[in-house]
Amino acid sequence: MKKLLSFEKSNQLLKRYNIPLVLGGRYTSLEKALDFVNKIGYPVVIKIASPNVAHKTEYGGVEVDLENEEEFRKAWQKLWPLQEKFQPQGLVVQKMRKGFELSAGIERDAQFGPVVMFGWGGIFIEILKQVNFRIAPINKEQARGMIDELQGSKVLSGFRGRPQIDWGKLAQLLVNLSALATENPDVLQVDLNPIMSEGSIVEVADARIYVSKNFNL
Amino acid sequence: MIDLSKIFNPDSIAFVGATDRKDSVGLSIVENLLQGKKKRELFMVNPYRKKVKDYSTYPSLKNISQKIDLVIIATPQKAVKEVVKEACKKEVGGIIVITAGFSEASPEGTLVQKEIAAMCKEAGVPLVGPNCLGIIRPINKLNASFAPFTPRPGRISLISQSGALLDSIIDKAVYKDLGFANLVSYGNGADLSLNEFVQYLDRDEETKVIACYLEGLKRGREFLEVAKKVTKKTPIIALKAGVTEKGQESVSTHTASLAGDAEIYEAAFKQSGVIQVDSISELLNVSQGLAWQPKHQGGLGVVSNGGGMAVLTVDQAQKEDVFTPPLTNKTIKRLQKSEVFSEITSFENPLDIIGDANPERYYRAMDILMRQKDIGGIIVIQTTQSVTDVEENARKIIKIKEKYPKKPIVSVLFDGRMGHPGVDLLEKNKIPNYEDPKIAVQVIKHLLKDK
Repeated sequence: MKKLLSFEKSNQLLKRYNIPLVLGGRYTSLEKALDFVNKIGYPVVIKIASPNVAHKTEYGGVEVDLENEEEFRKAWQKLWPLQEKFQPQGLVVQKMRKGFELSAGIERDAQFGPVVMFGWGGIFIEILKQVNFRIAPINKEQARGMIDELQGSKVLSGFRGRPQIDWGKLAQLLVNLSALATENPDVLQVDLNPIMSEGSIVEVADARIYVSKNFNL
Repeated sequence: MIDLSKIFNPDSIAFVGATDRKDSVGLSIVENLLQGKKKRELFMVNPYRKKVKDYSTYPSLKNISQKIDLVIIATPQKAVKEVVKEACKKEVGGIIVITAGFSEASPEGTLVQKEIAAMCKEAGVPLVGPNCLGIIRPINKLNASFAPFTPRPGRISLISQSGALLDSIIDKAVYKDLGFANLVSYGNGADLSLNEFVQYLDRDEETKVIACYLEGLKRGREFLEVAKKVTKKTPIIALKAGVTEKGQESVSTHTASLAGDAEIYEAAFKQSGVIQVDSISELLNVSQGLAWQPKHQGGLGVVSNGGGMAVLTVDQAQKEDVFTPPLTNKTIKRLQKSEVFSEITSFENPLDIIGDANPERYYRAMDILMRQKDIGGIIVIQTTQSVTDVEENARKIIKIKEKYPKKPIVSVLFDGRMGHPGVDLLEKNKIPNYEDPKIAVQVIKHLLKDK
């Protein structure tokens, strides 16, 4: 039996492996959420936190680019009833990040054991199906190879004046993910999607982590 | 590491299930074993027959007092377990179970297979099969299989999960006079499978290249480690079946092994330095190229007496990321100085030496290109035109190979009525020839790397 880790536990596990996350928190009260937003500053994103909702955008469960308190309150009112429909777990508030949407993950193969995946993220993961794999563990050079191999990855290296993505940071994220996979046999599957990347920022905006019932953080 | 030398180099073989009944698997094996009768002792075992060919039979392994290196079993399925038990008791050096009807057939078969494997493991006897074609080592005149022929000795070792595919490859190999160091079919792989054979053949002096056909791996992680080490010395070329979803369905019903995801296999091959191919002909072509020609780092030079073929070659080279370096001033000067190129005005790579190219022009062109430092090897193309001296041109190619033994050379020549004698001559001298520039590029690509 596999179960999905909660928002907090997922973050805790990823932080332990130095996998950078978009600044955010889960809130059940609007006022507390507002306090948090005032600390981190606009623009922000609100999304439903229920682990039962796989594709949040399809359910209208994400509101992005909220610039001020008014927009924030409106989005909160809109999403609150929606999250109640699914197992109510409150709403996640995050700093708004722009840039390329990438994805990375871990799978366990019956033959080869832990496998690291890297590819385009967001909706592109489904349309382009451009992802590639390495059997874990991988080193930084192999991680760079994975990025280099991704079709279209040229746009990540500052194509036509776009800011260049920090490949070193991205590669390190993959290496850390590989370590997480090899050191935690009870972590069955990890989907980091999207990973927002712009210039020197490489941060995981959404993580789904499946673990076995023996898993302990 | 497990010692498989008694399987590949046995001094004595007992064949249980020996028969001279026409059109039987047993008879094919007997006939194949007889090819090596001067090299080793043979014992024919069959409780129901007194004689097989000129051999008096033994009713069972127990009745043989001498030491036995290898036992081959092709009895009915029900008898296999008992024979394996006897063989283990006799402490033989290895067992090949040809008989089918195990994990590929039924849950009961799986159970018996497990029992057999456990017996062998406990006794420390390596086991090939069940449900396999067997093992062939031409240099030793060992044909412990029911394959229709024995190919001549060569440098390629072919390991196949499918016995039938191996049969067809052997048929073709004999027809094309292709040589093999070893041919291995391991069927259900109850004990020995790809990992053990790859490891063993890496240290076999006859083996220069390991080619494998596989449907699935049983210990993938271990394969990754083994292949990483082996490919540092011996190239491994793999054809993996079941890379599409549809293909995977039929694999899991075919052999009792689960095929993993195509992408994951691809990653595993890449990480361990295994060359993955996607057709039988590519498997054989690349293996032949790597067995016959040296590796040398550098770009590709192309010499052709036909413009179209030259263009097809560089098109393919670009698709496969094979660099075709421009000719240097020095090279161009050398070509200009040589009077055989007086009719040619443009010197480029690919070098078009025009339709009326004679053997001397071929020789000079190849020679001058080979001298250029960043050209690691060449593809030489010959279209057969009325003035083409096919055989003499082939001799010139062979001469170039002798002059530049460290740089690979691959030829493209149609094996037609006019071309055939040339192709024959080239292949006898270990110049891989292909009828299509695409394949020539696919092969030389692997030779132009230094690893």
